[in-house]
Amino acid sequence: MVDRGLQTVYDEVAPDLYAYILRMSGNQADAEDVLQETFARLLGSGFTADDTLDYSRYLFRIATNLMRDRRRWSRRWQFGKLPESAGRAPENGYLAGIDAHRAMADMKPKQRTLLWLAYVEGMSHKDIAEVMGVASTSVRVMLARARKKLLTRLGKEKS
Amino acid sequence: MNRFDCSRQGEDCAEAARIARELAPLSRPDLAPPPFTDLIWRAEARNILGNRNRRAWRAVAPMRRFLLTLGIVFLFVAGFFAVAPLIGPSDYPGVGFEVPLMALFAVAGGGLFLASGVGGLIYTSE
Repeated sequence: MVDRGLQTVYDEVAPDLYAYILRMSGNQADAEDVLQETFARLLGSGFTADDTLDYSRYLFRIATNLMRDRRRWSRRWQFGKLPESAGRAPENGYLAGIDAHRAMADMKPKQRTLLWLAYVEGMSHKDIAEVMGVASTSVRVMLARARKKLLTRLGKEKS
Repeated sequence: MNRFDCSRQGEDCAEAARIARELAPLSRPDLAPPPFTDLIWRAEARNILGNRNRRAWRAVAPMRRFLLTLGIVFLFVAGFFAVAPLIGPSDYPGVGFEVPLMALFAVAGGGLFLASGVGGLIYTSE
């Protein structure tokens, strides 16, 4: 039987979470597996539908940890490498983001995660620290480095 | 989720805005997440299969597991003696005990497998 509470959380969080996992893994099958495992873990942790709780941070944290574990044994993971069925038409923004895509693909997985959580998901340093399991002060430093590196890469791409 | 507040985070807002702008096209989901019900069915199927495999191995009595493992080891040894003359030097005359040893380990390994199987039959019929 489908749990309505969990479905509500899924409907709210899954689109952003799936986009994040899909971009980080570049593999649709793995992304679906990670998404499934993330929600299975939420359910396994004694989930009870509570409107006052923000599950997204928790779910992003689980997904980030799962991806980190999988990345260790899976060399096929590559940023943003998407199946042919994915929307690659210019109107879907694929060409518009091609420089950023190349620049991001060139970054270390940790830096990509940081940049994505900060500038796509719009998380605060505190939230990012919680999701990635690092100190909040480290996030500031790591993010500054990642930002500088990305901008340098983007500059090279543009020139 | 809160949008990133660069001033509150003490970041260069122009830089942050540029990165957010550059990454915006990538943030558009290329594919929608699978429907919730699909996810539940997949998880359920995997759970059932996973549990069945784990249960099957746990249901094997410790003695059977030991016999099975020893049987596999013996069969490997028998396999080694079987291929030893083939992988040795071409002028290797053989010392004459490979075939008997191979036979011995193969019979012992097979016997342990059988013993484990018979044990399993008795165990499950109880």
